[in-house]
Amino acid sequence: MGKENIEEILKNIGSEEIPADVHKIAQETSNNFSSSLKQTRQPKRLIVWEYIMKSRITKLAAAAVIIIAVLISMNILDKTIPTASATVVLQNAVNAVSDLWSVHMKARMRTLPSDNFSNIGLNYDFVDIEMWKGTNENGLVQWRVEKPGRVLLMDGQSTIMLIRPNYGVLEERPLPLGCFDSWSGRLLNVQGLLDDELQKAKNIPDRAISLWREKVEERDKIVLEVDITTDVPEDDYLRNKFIQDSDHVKVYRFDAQTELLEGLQVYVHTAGEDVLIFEVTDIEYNIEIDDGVFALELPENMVWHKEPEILPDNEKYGQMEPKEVAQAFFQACADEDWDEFLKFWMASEAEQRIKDYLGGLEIISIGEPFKSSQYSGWFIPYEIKLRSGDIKKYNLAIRNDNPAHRYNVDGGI
Amino acid sequence: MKQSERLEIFEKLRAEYSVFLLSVLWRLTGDRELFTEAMQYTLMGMWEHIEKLNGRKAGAYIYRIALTANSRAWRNRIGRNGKFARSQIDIDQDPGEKLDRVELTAKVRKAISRLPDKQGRAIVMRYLEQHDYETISEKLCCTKTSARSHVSKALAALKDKLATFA
Repeated sequence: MGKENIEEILKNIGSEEIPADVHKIAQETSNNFSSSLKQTRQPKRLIVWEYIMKSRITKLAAAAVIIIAVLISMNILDKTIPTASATVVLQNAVNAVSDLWSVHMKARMRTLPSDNFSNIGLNYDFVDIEMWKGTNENGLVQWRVEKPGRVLLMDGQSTIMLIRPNYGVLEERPLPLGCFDSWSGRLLNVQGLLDDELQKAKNIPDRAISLWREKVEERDKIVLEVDITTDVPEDDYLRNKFIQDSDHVKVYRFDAQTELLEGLQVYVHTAGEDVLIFEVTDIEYNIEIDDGVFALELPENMVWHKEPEILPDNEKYGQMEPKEVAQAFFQACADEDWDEFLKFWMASEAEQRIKDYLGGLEIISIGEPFKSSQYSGWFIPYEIKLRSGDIKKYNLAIRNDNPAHRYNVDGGI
Repeated sequence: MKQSERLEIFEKLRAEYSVFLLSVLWRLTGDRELFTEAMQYTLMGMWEHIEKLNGRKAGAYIYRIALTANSRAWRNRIGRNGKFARSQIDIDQDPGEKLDRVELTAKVRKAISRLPDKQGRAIVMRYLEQHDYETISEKLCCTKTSARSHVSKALAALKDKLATFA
């Protein structure tokens, strides 16, 4: 269709008569809203408004999903306590899941198989994620979050993240779900999740929630939609690289009868389209989970994460500017000087995989460091030629918020 | 600002812009359900930003609020797969009109809801409100040439978007 046809359609739209009943709808909608505002007796305190919008269309039954009555559209207008049915619906859902002793969830996410659990890319393919949480007869809580290149396990005593094949991060204590940026792991806290969403909706500006009821294959569903606007600028390097750094909407679905969470989809808003970035594909409640799920067989040649220690010549490294750090790091790789490499690398030793990948590289260029509003360290653009002949052009992430106060590589390899 | 002051400003604006909101939102939606939703979001947006609407720039703010509300209503109703649910288009209102024409018009409306802010306002002012370029340039605080450029870019963007919907 050409511009001329579009112009013709636009002109037609512009000259259309507005039907009489639409005038009436507009008047009613506006008056109802105004009345709701005036009815509150708690001027600055209210403030969830409800609108019962009765569907004026009788032909909404085209798809499997039927909106039987556009029920409740709820918006937070202020940072105070919400009222009435929104709370009731959420509270019922919370009650329904309070006696859960196990959850098994399957999901898919546009991420990289081995990268940070929260990492996303609008153009990435979907990667499968599987998560389990169980409470045994002694009340011991265990959980596991896994994607192809990364496993995060809390066995009740300690927490281990394994980046396959053999890099590990060990914490000798049970950490909560959501640790190590395992954003999706928080979903296993089904009970806390709902409460958390409600609290955030109340307390955080630019967050709107809506609730409505749908009918899917003759079963009633309750849908909770949370629309979140990020404060990360459009031109920030980290914008849309993590879910929390994007404008996005989360759509939760509960079964209206059991009031259990049945699904979640997360869409990132972009200029053109909403991009589905995360989707729960299956949830099972109160199933037996094999003990083996909460145990991790580690390879013999594990390389462990190690926080930077103060070196005898720490000052030399502490005084390095970000660009110098990038230069020194890549030079160590080029020279295959792995002792020097470890001064910038948070590990007990250099993994063979890294040696094979970066050893003997050739530095083509190191660019000017830049910052992101969401990251305390620096990004340094670089271009290197690997021994394989491949050219890699990316941004090295470094940070120095460690006890030794010297920059270490945090990502971007 | 006191609640009574907020209410007073809101009521004044509601009266002042009722015809504008009816006209623009109906032309942007063309569907009673969408229209109602867009109208509610607009009123909500006006209430949320009432402090900003107590001045000379109220009209421009309300314009933006209305277009954002329209985008949100479309996003909610189209379906996450991006496909139109035929029932959501008011085909019964024009029984004599060919279905594809009605669908095409709905697609144009959907595409408008996804235009960048300035392009969206420019196209609405030019075609849906039928303003001349002088008026558009005043409302957008730009030159007439820029106003023409916004409209032209919007038409090109609509063409692209419609191609992707096909």
